[in-house]
Amino acid sequence: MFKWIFSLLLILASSLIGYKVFYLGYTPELMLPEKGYRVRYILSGESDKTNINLKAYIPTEDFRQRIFDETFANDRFALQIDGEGFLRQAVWAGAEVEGPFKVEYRFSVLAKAVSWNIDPSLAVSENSTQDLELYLQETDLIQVQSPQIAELLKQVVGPQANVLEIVKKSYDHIVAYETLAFKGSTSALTALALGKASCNGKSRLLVALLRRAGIPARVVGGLVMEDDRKRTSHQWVEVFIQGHWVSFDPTNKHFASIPYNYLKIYESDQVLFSHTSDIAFDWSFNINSFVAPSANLHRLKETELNALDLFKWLDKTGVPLGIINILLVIPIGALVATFFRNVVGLQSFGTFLPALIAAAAQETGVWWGLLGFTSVILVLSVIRAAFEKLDLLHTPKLSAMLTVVVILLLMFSVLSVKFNFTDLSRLTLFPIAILTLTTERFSLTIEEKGLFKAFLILFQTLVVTAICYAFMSNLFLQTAFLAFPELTLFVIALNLWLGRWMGLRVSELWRFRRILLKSTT
Amino acid sequence: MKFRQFFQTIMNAENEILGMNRRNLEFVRKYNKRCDFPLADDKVVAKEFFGRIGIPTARTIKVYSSMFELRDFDQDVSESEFVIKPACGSQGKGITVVCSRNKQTYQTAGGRSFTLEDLKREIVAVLFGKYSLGHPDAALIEERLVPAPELELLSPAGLFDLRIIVVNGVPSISMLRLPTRKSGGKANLHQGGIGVGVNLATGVTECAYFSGSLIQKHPDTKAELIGFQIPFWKDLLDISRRIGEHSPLKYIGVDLTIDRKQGPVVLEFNARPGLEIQNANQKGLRLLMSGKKTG
Repeated sequence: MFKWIFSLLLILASSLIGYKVFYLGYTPELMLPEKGYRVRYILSGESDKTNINLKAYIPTEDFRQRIFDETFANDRFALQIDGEGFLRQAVWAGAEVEGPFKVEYRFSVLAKAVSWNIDPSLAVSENSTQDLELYLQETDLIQVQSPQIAELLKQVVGPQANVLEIVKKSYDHIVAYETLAFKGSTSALTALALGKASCNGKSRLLVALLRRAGIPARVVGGLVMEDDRKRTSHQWVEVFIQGHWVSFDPTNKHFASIPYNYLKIYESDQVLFSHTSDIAFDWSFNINSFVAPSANLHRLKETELNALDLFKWLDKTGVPLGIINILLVIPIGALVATFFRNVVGLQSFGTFLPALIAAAAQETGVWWGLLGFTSVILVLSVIRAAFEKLDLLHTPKLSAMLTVVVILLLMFSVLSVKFNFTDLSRLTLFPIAILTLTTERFSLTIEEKGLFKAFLILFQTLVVTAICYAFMSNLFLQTAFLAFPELTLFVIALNLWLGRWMGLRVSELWRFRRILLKSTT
Repeated sequence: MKFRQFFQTIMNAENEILGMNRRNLEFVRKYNKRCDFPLADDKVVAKEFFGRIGIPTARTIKVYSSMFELRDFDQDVSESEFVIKPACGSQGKGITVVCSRNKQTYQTAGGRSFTLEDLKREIVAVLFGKYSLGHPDAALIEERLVPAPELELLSPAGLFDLRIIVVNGVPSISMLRLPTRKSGGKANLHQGGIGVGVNLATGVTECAYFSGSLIQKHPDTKAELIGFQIPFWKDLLDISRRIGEHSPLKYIGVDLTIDRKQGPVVLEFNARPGLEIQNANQKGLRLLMSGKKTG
């Protein structure tokens, strides 16, 4: 019976996946969700003037990057968006701003990696068909007309070369320069003189060389998106080749290509942030990655016999993908928690508590999740001790504790917003009832088995939660489960298998070690 | 060589030790039907069962199942020595032993003095489920058992009990559980009692396990723990066997004791007996059972 059901699940899941891959054409590139980024500009400072202006270039959509969910937090400023395309700028004007201020601009990005092929026989004279004089001109920092640039070009490229050769040799020359950390604007000549430069110096020198050779080129600026809070932007180069602006990054070595985590914000040599002088000003980027449905998904919806496609239905209900994502990874977490209970033999409060806390922590990040969980349990057990003094009946006491959990979570949210830990405010997704029961168990364990044992189990709970989190936040698993929800059948099958597994738990090997060691000697 | 031996030990461990996974699936689930659990879980029901099959237990003085019955506590319980037990408590939780009485003051074995009101409040707590996860419970008042004189030195701080695991009517492994000062008079191993492995055939104690290590002498009285012949051994085995035969639950832990006046009596039985008995005996339960099958 067991074997039948077990095999049935495996066959069913495999054939559904096989059907999707081989018949419906669910290729990984088509199906797998993309990694996107949620980006936050944080502009803060302090002013004793009453009239101040803050400006920041903000990104725009193009053929490779999609910008959405834009929101602004304007503090006491009036916001105006100026300019278009890659010269779009947010301008915050503050008339009565005194003391500390902080404005934010948040948006989500989905960008594609792109690479270009350059025709090796393309001559410079055939390349620029349009009127692109602007991108051949000298600027203050890109000294195209300087004899040093002419000299370098001759040295590096030599006479009589086609576009690919010029670009390749100039690029290779600059790539060899040592990269410095960003320190103000470096001109093309300064970079040349030093033989080393930061990203903007390298980019300007490359642009200067190419312009000198008669190939239109420009410095562009933006952001390399990584899960991080960072205070650096990035600059690279776009070169006009056969009607396209082709990306080159001599700093991070991307030749005629641009990775998916590059966000282009402005074109031509601009200053990303500017502000009224004489105020204390600081800026940073806060970047978090997320999984988003593939932009190719709509193509699947048009294929025939696609009732199996979960997304089609979810789209109609308006359920956000993030919720589906969390829902689909909870079984993974539960499986991990089960494994640690039945195979490793770790004790944890509540069978599925680690999986649920880890699910809630998908929104807050693992550390805030663990910290939030621990503090709720500890604070609540102190309050429970006070309730206990009142000689209360069991259920009303639990109900009062549950209410305390709600209040605690709301307090955490308010405090986190106040102190700018925005991630912590998502703690409200915590499983309230389960936290209540867990605190009850925790407190009973203190009473029955002592403080040490209770904290030992709490610690094991945290460990299992962290491991659940590692699995549940794994991008590969997330995307796989989003593309093939049939995998949940595999999870059931694995659980059934664990349900029949009667081996000794690792902890039991330790518990009965004396007997085992005695019998071998 | 050393590593190979270690590896071998781990590979063989499963054939020797009964673990939680196998206990739950191959023993508790296989031998005990869910619907029969209340027979073992509720001490009042269990005592009725013992009475039906003619097995001696501590005399029940009174069972309280609602608060208003407590009005007549004075008349119901005239004894000066008695024990209050939650019917559905586990691991010895919520047990109050009254060992002497001076009019309205009750002295507990734990050294506390209770007024009549205190005692009633304790019983109300039992009724409201303080020791049974909030489920309404009954309070069982029964006579106090006193360990037989032979065991006085081994059981100075409370009442010892003898656990025998009976599988399908066959006693399979047994241990003596001795309370210590550390355990507060309770014989439960997780609360600091001593587990003493007993030779099933002879009733002679073989090894003693106390908070994770093997000991020779009782930590409180220094009495020798090994080589002690448990009196009434045949009777004790018989009782456990009879319970095993008559009970619909077929994988059980029978808890017995030897009272000064009545001799062997059964205390209760358990449908999910723990695994620590293997440490007390320094023997794996699986090895013992496979030995029985083949030889």
